[in-house]
Amino acid sequence: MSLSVEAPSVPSDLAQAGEQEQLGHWTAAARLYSRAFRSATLDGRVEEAADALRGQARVLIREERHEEAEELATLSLEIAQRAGARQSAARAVNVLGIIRHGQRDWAASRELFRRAVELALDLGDDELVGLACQNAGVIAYGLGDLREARAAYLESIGSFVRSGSSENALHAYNNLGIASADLREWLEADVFFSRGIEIAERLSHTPLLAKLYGNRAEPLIEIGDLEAAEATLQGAERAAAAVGDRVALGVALRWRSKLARLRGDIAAAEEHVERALATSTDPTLERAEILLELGDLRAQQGRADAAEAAYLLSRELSHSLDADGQVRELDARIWELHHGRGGGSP
Amino acid sequence: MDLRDALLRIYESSGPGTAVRALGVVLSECAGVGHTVWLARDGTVAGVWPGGEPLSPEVAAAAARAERPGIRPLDGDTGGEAMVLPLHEDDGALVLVGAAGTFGDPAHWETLGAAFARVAAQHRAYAQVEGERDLLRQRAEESEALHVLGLAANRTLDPDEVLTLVARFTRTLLGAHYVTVNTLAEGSIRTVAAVGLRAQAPADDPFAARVAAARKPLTLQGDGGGTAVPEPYHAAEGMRVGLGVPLALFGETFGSLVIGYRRPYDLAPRDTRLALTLAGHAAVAISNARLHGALAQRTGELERANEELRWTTEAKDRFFASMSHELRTPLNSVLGYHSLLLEGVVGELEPQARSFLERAQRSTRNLLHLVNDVLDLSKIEAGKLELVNAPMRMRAIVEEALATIEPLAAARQIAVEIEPWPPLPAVHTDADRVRQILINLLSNAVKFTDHGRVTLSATVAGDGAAPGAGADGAHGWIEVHVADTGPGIAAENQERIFHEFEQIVGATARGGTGLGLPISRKLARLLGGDLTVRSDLGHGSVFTLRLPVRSDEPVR
Repeated sequence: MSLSVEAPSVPSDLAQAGEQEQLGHWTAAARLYSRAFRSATLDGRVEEAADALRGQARVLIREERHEEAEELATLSLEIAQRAGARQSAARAVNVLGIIRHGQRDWAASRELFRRAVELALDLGDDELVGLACQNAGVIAYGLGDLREARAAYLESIGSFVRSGSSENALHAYNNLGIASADLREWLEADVFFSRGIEIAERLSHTPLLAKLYGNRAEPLIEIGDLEAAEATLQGAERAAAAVGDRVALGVALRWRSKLARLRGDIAAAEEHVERALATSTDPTLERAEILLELGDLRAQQGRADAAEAAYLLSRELSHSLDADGQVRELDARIWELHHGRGGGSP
Repeated sequence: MDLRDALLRIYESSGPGTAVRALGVVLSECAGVGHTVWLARDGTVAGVWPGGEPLSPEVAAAAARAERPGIRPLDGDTGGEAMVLPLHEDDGALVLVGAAGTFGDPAHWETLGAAFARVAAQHRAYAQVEGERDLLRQRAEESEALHVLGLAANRTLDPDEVLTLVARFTRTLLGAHYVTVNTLAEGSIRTVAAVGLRAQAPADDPFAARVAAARKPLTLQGDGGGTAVPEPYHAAEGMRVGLGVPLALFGETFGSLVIGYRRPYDLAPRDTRLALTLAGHAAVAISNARLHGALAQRTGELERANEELRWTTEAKDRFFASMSHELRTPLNSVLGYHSLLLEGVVGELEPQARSFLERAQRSTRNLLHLVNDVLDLSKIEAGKLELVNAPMRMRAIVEEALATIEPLAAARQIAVEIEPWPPLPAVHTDADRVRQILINLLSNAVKFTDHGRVTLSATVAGDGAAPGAGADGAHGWIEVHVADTGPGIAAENQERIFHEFEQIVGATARGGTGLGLPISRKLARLLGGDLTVRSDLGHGSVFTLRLPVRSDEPVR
């Protein structure tokens, strides 16, 4: 018989901190992690102390305080190693990799993720293997090595399936879909996004559902299934509105603009892209893509100068985000403008 | 204690754990003193409410052995008692302890014990269903993941990329430290893709070879799970547990997939099942790569052979054209001097000298014919024969050809006649080439006819619609037939006579190079028509030259 007695005590500070972190409440999470560290240290629970430090480091990464995050993560690793807490140490290595990524030290970051994978395999910690592989994929994607990114995301899916981490698998499918779409493998991208949507619906993971629905629009448009693209955009807008995700809403509007453009409804395309720019105002890759769409629209209108201006804005933003692949695509668009092909995508 | 209330709370519980807590609450409320509820299984405390108070191992062990509810004294000097409720259906025991030792009617506790048992049974059934659901979900997730791998792998024909992808995915899906993909080639095994190795891939992995030879999954285990496996290469890699599966497709084994764990690991049937599926992906990739490679090699060979053939043909054509020119010039000169000598330009010849000179002249003429034929053939095959098309009347050409052949016919005493000539349209063609064909047909007919005659006739063929009529101005066909009363041609030889340098048995005695008919057919086809034969052995032959009419001039 498998007896499952509920935990009798109230959730620990560490668990509460994790919950606050998941919800994006960084200040509360930081405070709870700090308290958890103090109590764990006083009680001599060394592994918990290391975990609390690592949690604090993660919160600092979110706040882009990489140097402080590095100090705490390094201390967490040190404590875990001295205490023989191998799993805690392995996870600290992964967090250090994320910090290096934030510091744009790609080589060091990649090496740390590789080490994290090795340590996690020694422990049989499949979830950590998947997380580190996924992180390595993000680096490859950022550097424009889409095939390597795709391979790394596939690896992470293998690990998440093994560990039963559906939520993590969800992120991996979304990333895999994005890499495949960039490789212009539309049918595959559609399958990967659809798979992510299935899992997100099962888990009621509305925030990611908004992104997945929006991302699926591109392969559907490229395949020529405009009705399905329309439907997926409706889903994206519903989910984005439910969680107040302006970025996801901006992405959905961007694809609505393209849909309208393809149908020859330039006025609607204009309206959607303007709304997208007004909605997604943060300097994100998504905003860069909306600017690209604006450039495509201008090119289709025969307004080459306005198109080039939009492409250049998008290029500048993409460059600042180290999105090399996007920069290359924009360069190609600008080149086409200058060589009389009119630019824009079909 | 309100038994109904207690039972209700127990039945509303989601499992034994919450039931214990519910009962604890009931006890607290009804007795007004602190009770502690333990849940003990196999002599070990598995749950406690509200917590804090220990249960002695003796009481826990007694609870595990108990068959009926009973009250036992607690250890120590607390003076308390424990009510033991055995939950046999649950394979465990519930231990209730009242610190004040006031349990009341034991029958109530038996009822509660049965309620606990039912809750536990329900929970067990629910847990089983949940477990099965999780298992099915995991299978579905695995299946989806394998499908995703297949999609990604199908995107490339590069076997290295596919095999590395399979190796990487295998590593994470099976939680292994390293994976190698090994292929068989010419009796030995070679590692073609690997992930997670510390050292270079081995030149020859005996374990991988054994798996391929066995054509079934094999495992490697170190002694006691903590030591290295008894394979030097894999021991050096730190393998504690290994799994190898064959790469097989359509009954053919291509190699093996080896999966290594550097930690103690219990291989499950799931691992083997997944490894075999992944090996299938690798086998497909290898098979595709081999087929693709073989196809590419064969295509290359054919392209090279084609190139050589083209070069050889061109060289042959150049040689024939060149040699024919080089031969024709001196032969014309020899013929010229022969003629001068025979005409007595340098004095009257002795009869025997004349006879010798006439033989030499005949041989030289034959040689010149052969050279001319070879030159024509090489020009046609090289596509360098230029046609000079102009409107012409077929009757005029036929008469010219007949005039040319008349001396030969007279010498052989063979009558050559033109049958009543129908009205024919003018044709737009190369008159010299048509004449050449007709002379060849007529001379053959005369040469091969010992008795009887040769006749020439013409017809307008079909309904007047030639292929491409309207598109190129063609308006029908005209056919010229040359019939003889010679020995005829056997059916099996009727195509051979149109092949270069092929003369059927008995034809050589009649002279000729064997090139006349092949050249004539090629010329006829160049002119847009054809040359065919109908013949019955012993009943002569009819050669038909068919030419398209490409003129708007009216039928004469």
